[in-house]
Amino acid sequence: MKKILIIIIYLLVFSKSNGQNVVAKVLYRQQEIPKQNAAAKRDVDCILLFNSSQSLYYEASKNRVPNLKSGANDNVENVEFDSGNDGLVFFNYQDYQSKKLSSNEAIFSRKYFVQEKIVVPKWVITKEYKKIGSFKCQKAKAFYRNRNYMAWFTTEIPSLAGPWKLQGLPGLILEAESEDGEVKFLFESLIFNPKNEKIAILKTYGKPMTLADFVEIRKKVLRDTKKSFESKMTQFGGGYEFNVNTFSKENFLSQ
Amino acid sequence: MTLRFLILGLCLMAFLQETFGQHKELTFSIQGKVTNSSSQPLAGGILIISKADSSIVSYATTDEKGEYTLELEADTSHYLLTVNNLGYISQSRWIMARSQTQHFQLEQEPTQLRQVTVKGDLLPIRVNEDTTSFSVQKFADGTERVVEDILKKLPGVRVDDKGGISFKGKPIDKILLEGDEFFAKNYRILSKNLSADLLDKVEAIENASNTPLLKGIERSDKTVLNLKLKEDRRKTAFGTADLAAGLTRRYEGRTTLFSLVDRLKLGVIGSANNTGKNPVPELNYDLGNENPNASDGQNQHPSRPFLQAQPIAVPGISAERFNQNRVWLGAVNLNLNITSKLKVKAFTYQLSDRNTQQISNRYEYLLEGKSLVVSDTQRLEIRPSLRVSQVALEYTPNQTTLLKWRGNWQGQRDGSSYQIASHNPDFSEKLQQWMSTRQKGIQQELGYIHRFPRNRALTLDAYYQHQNRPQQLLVESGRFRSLFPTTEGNVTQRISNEVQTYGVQTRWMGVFPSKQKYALLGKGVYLSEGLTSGLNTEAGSVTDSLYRNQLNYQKWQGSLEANTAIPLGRLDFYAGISLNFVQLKEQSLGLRAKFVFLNPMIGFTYRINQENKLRAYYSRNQSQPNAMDLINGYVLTNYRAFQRGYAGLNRPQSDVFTFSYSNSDWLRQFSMHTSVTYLSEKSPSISQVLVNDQFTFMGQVPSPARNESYELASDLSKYLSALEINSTLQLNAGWNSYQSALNSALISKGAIRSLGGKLTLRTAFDGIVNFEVGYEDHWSDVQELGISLGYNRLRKPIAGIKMTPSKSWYFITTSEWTDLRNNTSQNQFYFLDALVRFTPLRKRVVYELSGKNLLGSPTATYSQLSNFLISQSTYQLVARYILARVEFNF
Repeated sequence: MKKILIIIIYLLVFSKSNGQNVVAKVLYRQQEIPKQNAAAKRDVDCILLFNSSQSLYYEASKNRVPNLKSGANDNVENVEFDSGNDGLVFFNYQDYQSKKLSSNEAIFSRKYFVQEKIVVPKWVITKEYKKIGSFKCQKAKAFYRNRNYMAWFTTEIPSLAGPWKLQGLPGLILEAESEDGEVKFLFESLIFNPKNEKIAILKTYGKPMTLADFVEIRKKVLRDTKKSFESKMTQFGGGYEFNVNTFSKENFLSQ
Repeated sequence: MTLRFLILGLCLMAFLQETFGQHKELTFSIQGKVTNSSSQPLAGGILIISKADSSIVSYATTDEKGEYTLELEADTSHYLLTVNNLGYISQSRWIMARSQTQHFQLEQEPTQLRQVTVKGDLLPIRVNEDTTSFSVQKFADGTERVVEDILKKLPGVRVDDKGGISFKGKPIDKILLEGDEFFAKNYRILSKNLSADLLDKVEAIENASNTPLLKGIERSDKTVLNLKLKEDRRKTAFGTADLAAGLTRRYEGRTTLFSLVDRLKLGVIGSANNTGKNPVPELNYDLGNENPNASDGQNQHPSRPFLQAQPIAVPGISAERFNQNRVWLGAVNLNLNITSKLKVKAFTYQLSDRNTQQISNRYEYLLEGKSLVVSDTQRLEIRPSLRVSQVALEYTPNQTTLLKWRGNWQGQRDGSSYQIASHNPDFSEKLQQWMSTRQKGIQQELGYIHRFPRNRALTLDAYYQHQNRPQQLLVESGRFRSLFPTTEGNVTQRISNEVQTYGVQTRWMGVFPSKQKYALLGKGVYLSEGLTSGLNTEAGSVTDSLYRNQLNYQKWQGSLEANTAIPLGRLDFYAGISLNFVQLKEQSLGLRAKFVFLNPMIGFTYRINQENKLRAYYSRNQSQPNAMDLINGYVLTNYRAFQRGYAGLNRPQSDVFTFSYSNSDWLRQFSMHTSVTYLSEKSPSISQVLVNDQFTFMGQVPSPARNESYELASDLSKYLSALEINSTLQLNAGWNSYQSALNSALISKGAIRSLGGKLTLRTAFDGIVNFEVGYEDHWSDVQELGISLGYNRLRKPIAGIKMTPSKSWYFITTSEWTDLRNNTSQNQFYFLDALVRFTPLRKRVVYELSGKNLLGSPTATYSQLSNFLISQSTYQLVARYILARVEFNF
């Protein structure tokens, strides 16, 4: 009897903390336009689910970059390292109470499960306003993960959540972009009280590692791959470039 | 007494301390707890401190105990403290700038939130490098039937009277459907027939490359439109069927069926109407090998356009207002990936178009110092039938090679009749002419592309083309008899015209490590054309030593071209030059001629920033004579031509300079494109001109003098978010000069000036009612030797109301008042159009009742020359059925 009671209480507590109602589901369009390698452009749909204490942001579609044009910097062999077909998707799960962030990060086609502490960007809120959808939004700026970001948030939806790892404003972030133009998050739609949605860590592979460990592994893999390419390319002489789509760039450190 | 003063002083000090002492506290903190109505702590709540001007100073969130702490530096005496929590009613209170405790107890929001969807702005325009994406729903107002109707409303996109589409001033190359090519260059089949309901987005892609294999190597100037369909259309087969019937026996029907699923992409279009809608007004089918490196000002096609129709158009008046036709179109396009390496693309369409137009013209000429007035009535039946088919195979054995074969077949039959009366002091004449033509052509083309390492590529193309254009004319003319005194009765002229062309072309392209692109091009063409004309009367064949009836000539043509594109940061620089050799030989005249000429081109694009771009381009194009220049006067091709008696080699030379500026600030929903074009043409080389007909019309002889034109076009679009109004403004201005000379003596000189603009404002309110107002104004005049020969002015204000009281019902009414005048006449007509649409919920049928009501003059005179019959009032009832969705896998 005691055991059953414990299980019920555990389930109640568990469901409360891990299966709370999803207050809203936001659809974003995430565009990555790395200047160094225009062939590695990405344009995907992403979904943000959140409630008062958690949020989950994940990629919900394949890359839709059209293969129709020659870009201005498109002078490289088009070797694309895409996300592979391992059933794992990019996601960021944030727990605002415990201040923990869990995510799938990728090095080429291999995904790594990374856990880190939530770092709130030092937002500077400006006096610029605009309307997005039917929401009045205000602009904020911050330096985060080696980029300067501009974000439009609305206090009409009181939530710290936002796309990717951007969060910590006194309202939901509806749109954001980096000042260098390489990263954009565009608001598409928002559903209040969506049905059949759950906020939880998605499928991962392997044990979680810290952010510092992940960065070290990444540096090593990139160095090795570059050397491997160099050794193959020398028979044709020079004229090659080696670029990798690094969404967050190299600098995970300092935060 | 002393005690009273002491107490008073203490009170005063306390008061002063209370009032002013707090301002000495620079940093203060506010803390407290947020709970619900049951006193349970609320975690995740957000507390915001703001000033009177709503600027946020600081904020914090509540922890799992519902507690918060805010710290800030005071720079004013009062702040507004607001607490927000999802699912609870927000609270705000003014607080003084001092450390304090503030607790909140929040009430839950009374209504349970259902699943509610809020859509984003779906920013109407998004620019991503070379791709501009338009969200269709932000520009559509419900009256659009076909894709072209939507394209006309997109900023930066222009659709001309023949359905030709340009983006930022540059004509587009083709329209893709979800990335797939349909009907090759004849994109009008899609734009004029595909239902507008299917569209979700339209992408305009600049610098689009035809061949993925040449990506990154080939410099491309082409612009294409890519139509993105609504989500559900991409997964199954889909289609629409429209049927409309109206008064005065008007009808209109259209069926489309598309499947873009899996390996097979299929499109079928059927259309028939007699309401003035032309499903394919012009064909862009240049047989011959295209030169992808040819830029804007150069036309490198070795052969002239094969099939072209010239519909009559009046700027500012929709063709539907004055055309009555009988047309039907059947078209099928199929793209099939047989295997991963082998692809086949094929299309065929047949068009029958009885566009009977009656146009009255009046010309005044100066003939041998005397005035000659010619007035005629043309009754045209343009293009009674047309058949076009193309099959292409593409084989990619590996990732670096492509082999292709393409064959196309075309046939066209059309006829026209003229009734002409001409008067001058010396004679009067009536002439009747009936002309019919049958044109046929085939082309076979082989191509090979290979991509080498280090970004280099080689292409080889070979083609064969055969065109056959016989014509027959029946001429009744008193004056004709005076030219041929021995003839009796009417004259029949039969013309046969055959052209055979063989061509080869090779290109070597690459990219230097410094990212500079280069291309070398070599081309060789052999063309043989024969033209014979037989004149017959009832008495027998007609011959005259002054008029030759046969012409056979051969032309050899070779060219070498080099061009390069250099990116220099934000500047893309382009330069090229081509060296051309032409040899002509005409047997019956014993004519031999050789030409060597250079065609240079230079240009640049400067990206000022993400939104602003400057572009400039210059090219010179000298071309070799073609058969028409040789034969003018040798044979009788139409009633005007037979009165000339010259022959010559005309080598036109043109210089083009274009400058454009574009701004696409999609964040502020503003776009602008302005371009200025200068074109200069002359015919410097005319030899062997022989005039032996006293009735030579001036201006018909190629002129060695330079004709120039300047054109300015500007498109602006801005969404005024505060007023919720979409505004578009189009401006154009032109000045064209022409000169005619004979034997180097200037005979006449004139200019055509034109100015026009159109402003449209459309509201985008969320409510039931929306409005549209607009104003259009066009003016043009002709001046010759300083004397005005006449002007045309069209003014048209437009007003409309749109109502959507529910999801099922839709009303729109538009009022168009047109004032068309020139120096001799004035026409005013007034159109009141209305449309009612009923869409039963969850049904596949849409019903529409529309009326176009004409009030006022039923004819319009334009340009002093032509009288157009404006359509009377028409009413139509349309039932449109959305075909059942069919799902299949191939």
